[in-house]
Amino acid sequence: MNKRHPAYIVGFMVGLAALFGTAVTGLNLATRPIVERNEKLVRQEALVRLFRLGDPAQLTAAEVVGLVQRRIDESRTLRDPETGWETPLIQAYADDARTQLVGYAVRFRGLGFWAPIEGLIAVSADRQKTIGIVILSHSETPGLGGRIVEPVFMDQFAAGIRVLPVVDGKALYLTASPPEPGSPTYGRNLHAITGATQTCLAMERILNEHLTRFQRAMAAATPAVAARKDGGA
Amino acid sequence: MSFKNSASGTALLKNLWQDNPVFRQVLGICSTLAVTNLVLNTLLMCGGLIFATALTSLTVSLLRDYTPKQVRMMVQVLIAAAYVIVVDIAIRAFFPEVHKVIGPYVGLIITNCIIMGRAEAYACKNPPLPSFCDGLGAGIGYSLVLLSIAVVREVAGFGTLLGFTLPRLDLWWHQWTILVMPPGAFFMLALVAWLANSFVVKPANTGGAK
Repeated sequence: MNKRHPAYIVGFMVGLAALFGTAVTGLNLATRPIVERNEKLVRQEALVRLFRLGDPAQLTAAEVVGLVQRRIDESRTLRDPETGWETPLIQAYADDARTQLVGYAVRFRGLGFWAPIEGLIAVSADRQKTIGIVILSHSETPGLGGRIVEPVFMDQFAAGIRVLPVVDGKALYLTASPPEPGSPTYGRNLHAITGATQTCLAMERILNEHLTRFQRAMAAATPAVAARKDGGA
Repeated sequence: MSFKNSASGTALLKNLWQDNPVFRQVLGICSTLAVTNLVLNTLLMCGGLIFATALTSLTVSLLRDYTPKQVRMMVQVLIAAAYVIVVDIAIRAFFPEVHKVIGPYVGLIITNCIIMGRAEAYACKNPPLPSFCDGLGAGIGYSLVLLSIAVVREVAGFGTLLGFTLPRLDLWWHQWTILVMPPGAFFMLALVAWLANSFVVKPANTGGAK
């Protein structure tokens, strides 16, 4: 066995790559159903949390699935007439009969400081205020940009940031300190987090982009969709 | 012969302190700087690194008689990458919440110099068990330094430990935000390396090669 022979070297590398490649691929395939189930459940829990339909920590997986099936409607698609942007319209109801509309959610995705940030932002049934946000995935630095998933940032959306009217493509404003009452940004501001400034700026840009399209699309929506915002079935 | 005096014991124990990968060999500095602002992230990163380093060293050692010298580093990277992917898949499947926290960093373990450093410096020349212990020791030694830095940074910077707010700390301590930002990691690493090299670790014998 001559280890310096090119045929040996190539054969060794091919064999080793095949061995490890097969092992890793096999493990990936074996765990794929679990991963897909987890991802689906994570999204459903996110919807429950987003619209405050219940506490996912207190619910079983089956209860979360049932709640989403009964109270979340994702059957409609929104289209922004200006940009052609299309997105599923997520509508949540407070009751199983789907008579009381809690609000709408729109999926957002955009470039953070390092990589895409993906999530859902929810607004009230009258589309005036945010009612929550969830980050489904991000690759920001843990402890720095990654702090956007912490309550100190997320709770601002649950508390309600006014997002109408949209002015010059801005539905909300990132500020370093709270604006004075009476200023144009009062009640429409989002506080940045120390150490996550660039990620917060990215979030402001991503959310403004998506909320602008969403509001425009809703304004131009078919009467059937528009009727939903008033709680019509 | 006790375990402490065996090749495996020596390989394990030397890496914990005397030849610590971070402050003696200056390896794995990037992640030392990156993940140490929260203790939980540090713990999870350390767990992944210990697993990947120990098993990579073991596998490199098992294959050392068959590995062509010209491609040994490619082989080491391939093995390290495979183990890191195994860690990533396992965490994603069985600990999805944990994956959300450290997912961005798991892939980066492949590039951690400690894995390649120990494979190249030790595992490719030594038997499997001592190599495994060497990788394990390097991983634990790295973890000790990272955790000591992370505890100081999280407590002083956020006023929390493992995410829990420390009671009454805010009455007398004003959080040092700089410590949780990148410059804070440089300060802390320099401080730890200085303390360790000046006061704790005995100077290496520089009397020439034996």
